[in-house]
Amino acid sequence: MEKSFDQLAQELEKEKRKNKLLHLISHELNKLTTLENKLNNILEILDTSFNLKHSIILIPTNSNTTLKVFASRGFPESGIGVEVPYDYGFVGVVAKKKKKVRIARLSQYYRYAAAIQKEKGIEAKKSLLPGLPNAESQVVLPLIANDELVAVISFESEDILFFHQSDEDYLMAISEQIALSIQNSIVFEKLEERVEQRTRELERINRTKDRLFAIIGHDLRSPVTALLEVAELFKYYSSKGEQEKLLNLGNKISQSAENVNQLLDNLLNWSLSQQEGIRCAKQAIAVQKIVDETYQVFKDSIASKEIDFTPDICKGASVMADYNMLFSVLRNVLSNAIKFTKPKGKIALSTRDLPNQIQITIKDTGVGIDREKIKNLFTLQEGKSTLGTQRERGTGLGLVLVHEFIKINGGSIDIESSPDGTSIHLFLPKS
Amino acid sequence: MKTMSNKITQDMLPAFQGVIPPTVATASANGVPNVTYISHVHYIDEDHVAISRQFFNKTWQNMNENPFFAVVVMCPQTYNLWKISLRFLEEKTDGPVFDDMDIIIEAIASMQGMQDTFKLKSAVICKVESIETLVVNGKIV
Repeated sequence: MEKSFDQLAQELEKEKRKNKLLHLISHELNKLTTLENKLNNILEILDTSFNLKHSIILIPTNSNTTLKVFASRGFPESGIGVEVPYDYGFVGVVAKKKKKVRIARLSQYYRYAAAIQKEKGIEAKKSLLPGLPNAESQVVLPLIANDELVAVISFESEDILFFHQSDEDYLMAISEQIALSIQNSIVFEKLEERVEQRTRELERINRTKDRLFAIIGHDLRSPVTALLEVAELFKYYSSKGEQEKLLNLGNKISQSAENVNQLLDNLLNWSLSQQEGIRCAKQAIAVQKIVDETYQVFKDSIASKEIDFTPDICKGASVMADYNMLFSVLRNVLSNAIKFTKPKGKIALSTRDLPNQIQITIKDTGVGIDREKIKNLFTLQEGKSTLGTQRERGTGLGLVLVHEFIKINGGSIDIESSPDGTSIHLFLPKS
Repeated sequence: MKTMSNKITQDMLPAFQGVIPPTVATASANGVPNVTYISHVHYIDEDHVAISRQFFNKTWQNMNENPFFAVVVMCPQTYNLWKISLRFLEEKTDGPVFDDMDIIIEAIASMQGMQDTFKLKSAVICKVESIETLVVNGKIV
C-alpha cells in the first residue's frame, strides 16, 4: 500500500526528531563531567525529547546486591540515595534479569495484589522508591555496557499509554551508548576520588614531615642551646670559683639533659613506629611496678612543684603490653600532668578492673585542655603544644606517641578535660 | 469487507501491550461458552501468543476441554480491533516466555513481600489459527 503524503511527512518529522535527539545525546555523552551532572542531563534530554517527566536512574552499589538512586526527576520526593535490594520492584527485577519491562494499567496489577493481600491478611507495604501516587504505566530499561549492568532507568506516567513502541526501540538502541557514557563517568569519578584521597594522604605525610623537621630544627635545638649556655656559665663560675652558683646550675643541667633525653627518646620511638620498625613484645606487666618506675623518673619534678601525687592501684592489676611502650606512655602522660599542674596541685593515678581490660586513669588539677585542642592531640601538627604552668616547653609529640603505642598494644585512650583539670584514661588488655 | 490472515503483523503489536484489556472467549467440551477479560495477550512471534495463567479457572478448564478459542485485542493508538482464533498448545512454567510474562508479577510481589502468594502459575502458549479484522480506522468492517 502506498503511503500518503501526511504519513510521509509524519515519518520525516519523526526521523528529524530522532536525529536531533541523537545529536543532543551524543554531545552530552561525550562530555567528561561528574556522574551527577551526566545523569541529570540525560534525564533532562529524555524529558524534553520523549516527554518523560518522571524518571529515576539507579546504579548498582559496589557489593552488587543493591541499587541506589543517583538521579531523579519529576517526583514529589527525589529519593536520591535510597537503596533497594537487587530483586526489589520493577527496577530490581530488570537489574536481575537484564531485561526491559513495560507495564500498562499498573493500578490493575496493584488491585489484584491488594485483593490477595486482603484475602490472605497480608499488610500492604509502601514503596521504598520515589514514584507517582497514581502511576498507570512504567517502562524500566537496563543500561548494559560490555555485558555489565551499569544502571537501570525507570520512567513513570499517569497515562496508560505514554511511551510508544518506536520510542522504546529507539531508546534501547541508544541505551548501550548511554551505559558506556555512565560507565566512563563512574570510572572518572572513582579516579578523581582516588586522586583526592592520595593527595590528602600525601598532604598529611608532608605536614608530618614538616613537623618532624620543625621539632628537630627548633624544639630539639632550643634545649641543646640552653645546655650549651649553661655549660658556658659553668665554665665561667668555675673559673671564678663561685661554688653556690655552680650547685644551682647543676640542677638546671640535670633538668635540661632530662628534657633532651625524653625528646630524643620520643623522636626515636615515633620515627620507628611510623616506619613500622618498632617491635611490640607483649608481656604481663604489673601496673604497680611500672607506675613506681615512672614515678622514680619524675619524683624530683613532682617534689619541686610540691605536687601531691597519689597512686591508687588495684591489687594485682596486670596488663598485657610491651614494657618499653607502656613505660613511654606513662612517662609522657605523667610528664604532661606535671607540666600543666600548678605548684601544690594534685595528680591521682588510679586503676579500674574492667571485664577484659584494665583502666589506668591519670587525673590532674591542671589548667585543662581547650576543647578545640583535644581533637588534634593525637595528630602531629604545629602550634598545638602549650607552655606549662612554669613555661615548660613541649613538642606535641608526646600524646601522638601515647596514642600510637596504646593502639599498637590493642588498647584505647580517652580524655576528659575542664578548666579544673584533665583525666587521661588508658584502656589496656588485661593479662 | 472483513480481512482475514493467519499472521500477526507489526501494526497489531501495540494491541499486545496490555493497555486495553483483551476479551477471551472459550467453550467447554459440550459447547457452554465463557467470556472474560484478561490482563493482556503476550506476543511471542507472528504465529504464537501466550496468555498468563494466574487467576482464571473456568477459562483454563475450557481450554483443556476444548483447545480452540478466541481473543479480541484492540490497538490503543488506532483503536483497530482484531479477533484472533487460537489453539492451546502447551503450558510453560519456566523458560524465556514464562520469565518475560512473570517479570511484572514478580516485581509487584517483591515490593509487597508476597513472593509466595502472588505468582504467575504458567504461560499458556497458543498457536494463531486465523486473524479477523473487526474495526479499522474507526470503521466496522
